[in-house]
Amino acid sequence: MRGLATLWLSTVSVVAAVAAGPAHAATSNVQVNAQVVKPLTVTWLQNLDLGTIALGTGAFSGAVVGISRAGVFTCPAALVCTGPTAVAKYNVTGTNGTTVRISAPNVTLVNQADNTQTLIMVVDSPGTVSLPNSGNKGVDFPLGGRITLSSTTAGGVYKGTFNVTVDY
Amino acid sequence: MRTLLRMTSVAATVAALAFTAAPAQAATPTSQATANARILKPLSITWNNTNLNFADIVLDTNPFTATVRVPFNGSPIVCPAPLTCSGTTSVASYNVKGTNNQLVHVSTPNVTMNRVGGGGSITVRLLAANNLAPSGVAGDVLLPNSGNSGVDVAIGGEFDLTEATPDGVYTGNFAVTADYM
Repeated sequence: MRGLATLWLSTVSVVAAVAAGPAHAATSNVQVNAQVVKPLTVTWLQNLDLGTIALGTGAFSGAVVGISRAGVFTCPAALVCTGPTAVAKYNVTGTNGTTVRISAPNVTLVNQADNTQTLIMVVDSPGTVSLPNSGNKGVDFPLGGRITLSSTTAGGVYKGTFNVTVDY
Repeated sequence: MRTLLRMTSVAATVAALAFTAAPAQAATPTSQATANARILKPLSITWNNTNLNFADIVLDTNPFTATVRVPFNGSPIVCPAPLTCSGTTSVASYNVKGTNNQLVHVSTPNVTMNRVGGGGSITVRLLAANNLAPSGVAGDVLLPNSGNSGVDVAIGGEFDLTEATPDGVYTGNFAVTADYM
């Protein structure tokens, strides 16, 4: 940020010097604006867990199981879901009163016993978050996710990694 | 004026470049969250048409207490004196199917054998196999595959006899269940 500020000031100086040169000079006021913000940080706090999902008997498709970013777990009748579930959580810090955009693309979950078997988890993100303070405290934000299963989905443990970035 | 405008234009261009070329404010965490789900195929357990059979056991008339055991691993019947055991024994067998590499517990509660014609009963303590030897709890099995093959689980048993046990034919039925652990 220091390098950027220096360059901006030197640029203004160049304009001022040229304008002062000619005798028949005219004056034009130009507004100069700057927004100085603290560096953004984002920190992982918690993993997302969809628990254990037992497929029901018989043929079915389009069974969506997931957890919203608010923590509401959904398990359709074709499935039996057990075990603890959790949303993912991150903490973001920056400048008080600013809005931060959250980028959280879909996550590919890979079957740990057969990496040819994958599931796409659609992420439920708040999209943006407002920073209520400056500095170390920041604000936490959750991410949910949902997957679509069918009776032909391969069993096993599926894992994937988020790719979260934040930006002013 | 042309010079001034040109210079101003250059300055504005420099300023614009300075802002657009400035480092983005995007931040990424040093560690990303993971997403996890354990998906299990429907579990099934099927009787393999093999019953648990203790065959023939001859009591003694003198006072005694003895435990007869049919091991789940196919070893010969354990038949302590003063009992005499004969005939062909067998273990019960079930097939369990589910998701590869998942632990399943086969629950085998005690079963009551009733004397045919009435007049007595014997409680059999079932002894389920596990394939996690040498450690592991009875009935804990690790599924070695997904789908139709499954894994067979043998179930033996044991019961206590005394000289007072009424002789006769005893029979009972299992209530075996399997569940993911």
